[in-house]
Amino acid sequence: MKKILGLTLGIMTALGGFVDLGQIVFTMQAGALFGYRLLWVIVIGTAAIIIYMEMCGRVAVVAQEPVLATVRTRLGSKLGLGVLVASNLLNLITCAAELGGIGILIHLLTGWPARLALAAAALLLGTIVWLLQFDWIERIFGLSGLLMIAFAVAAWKLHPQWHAVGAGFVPTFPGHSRHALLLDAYFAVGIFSAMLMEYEVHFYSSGALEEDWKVKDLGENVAVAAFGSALGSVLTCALLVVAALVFLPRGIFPDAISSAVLPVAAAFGPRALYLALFGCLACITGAAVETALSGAYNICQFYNLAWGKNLKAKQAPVYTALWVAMLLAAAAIALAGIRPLTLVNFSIIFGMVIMPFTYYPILRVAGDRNVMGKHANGRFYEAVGWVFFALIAAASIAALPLMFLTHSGQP
Amino acid sequence: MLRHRAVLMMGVILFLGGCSRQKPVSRENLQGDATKIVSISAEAELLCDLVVQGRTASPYAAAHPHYLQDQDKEVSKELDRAGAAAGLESSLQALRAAAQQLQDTLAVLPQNSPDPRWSEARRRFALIRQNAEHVRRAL
Repeated sequence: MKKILGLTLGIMTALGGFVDLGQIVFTMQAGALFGYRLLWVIVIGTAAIIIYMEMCGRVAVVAQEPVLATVRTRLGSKLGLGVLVASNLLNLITCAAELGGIGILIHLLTGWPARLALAAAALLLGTIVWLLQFDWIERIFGLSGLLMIAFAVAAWKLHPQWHAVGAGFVPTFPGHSRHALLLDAYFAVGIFSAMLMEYEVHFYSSGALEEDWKVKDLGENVAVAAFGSALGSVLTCALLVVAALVFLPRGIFPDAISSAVLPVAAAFGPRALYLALFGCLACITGAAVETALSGAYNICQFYNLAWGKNLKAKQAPVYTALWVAMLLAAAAIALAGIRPLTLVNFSIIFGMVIMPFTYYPILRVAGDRNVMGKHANGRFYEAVGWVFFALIAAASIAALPLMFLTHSGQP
Repeated sequence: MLRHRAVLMMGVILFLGGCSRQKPVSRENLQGDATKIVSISAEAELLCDLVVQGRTASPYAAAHPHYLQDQDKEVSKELDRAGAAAGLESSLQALRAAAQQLQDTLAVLPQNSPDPRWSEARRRFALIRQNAEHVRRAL
């Protein structure tokens, strides 16, 4: 039972990490525009996040070094500081977007005004995070996110043509107009980026240290990273499939989180609609918690200050003040009325731009025998890591031009 | 001093004039706006269908149209800001009218699920979508 509960770190990281507001809407938009054609991106993104999440967990356990400490030691304090500032700005923007999404989902569930719901949810969330220890936070948000399975069951119930779904796992060159080609590339980069958002690995490596993983737990690290990410991947595929089945034939381009649950209602009716809404709410709330905590982890780890959700507020005052401030600032941004999807589009694309600066130091440390000893990457694993890093770098270079050329993915 | 102020005032007036002038809209932009109107009306049709079939929950059916309205308002703003380039005047007018009809129909959707007005609204959304599709094809 303890081992099963141990998987919740991976589940929460993956569900709150890459099945968040941005990924839900981005993936459904891709399904609505291109059918199953971008499923292969999810497979590549999943392989990349499993490998890098595993490396982060291993570095955290063996070198006792969370991601931002690795960034500082490998990139130097100046470039490292740049990465810290950029990562935390993205955390703040993403957290604001997720809080905005929470307000909308509560509005859809209860009919309460979205802003009032947002303010109440931010307060409630702050209280829950304040009161609970790390393992309970991951259990609550990780396990409740499993309600997203409603999308997977809806995908099955809507009877897709499975051979067409299978064909989507093989990359194909879109032979349409220039705009369609650029849109295809924009969504491929966006989905890939949303799956590898930096805060996932910040949160995961910090979580490994919060849970006091030892070298003997490295097997569990592999299982947690692989299982959590694979589950997130299946749900992401399901989102794309239901969008391809329900939105594409009708010419619908879903541009709000409220649209995302329509396919589940179409497949099963009102009870499943509630499940889907609660599933989205759990994942998005998990993402809000991850980003707020990651902001605090990052600064404390970078400056070597006391940190940890399992410490009392007095033992880690800066850390506590930082995550509370992060949550309050994000709530203020969300309450200002900026569309959550505008924020999240920005965070996904700019997250992609700075992504190499987070993943490069991890790859270097994980392969460094002086630091990792016998737990350093093997040759094959290192090579695979570099292949994925090359993809991350390529996507990073392409992200901004694609955003401008496609007007942020407008069909 | 007075001369400086006059120059400054002229500059401000020219700047504001430049801002308020309508930008001539391109064919591609209009196609994009037509696509958005088609998408929003098709989604509203789907919502109406699901409500009529008893497949949604009441709070959701009451709340979701607000977000469709927000999307439609953005399209309306774009269309209002746009000036018609030669040959595109009638398309621009037709899309402005479609966006307004969409706004009006979304605004009067019933709050409760079992209501015959949902079926009536569905017919109107279908008509708006067809009109927008027609404009898009003609562009």
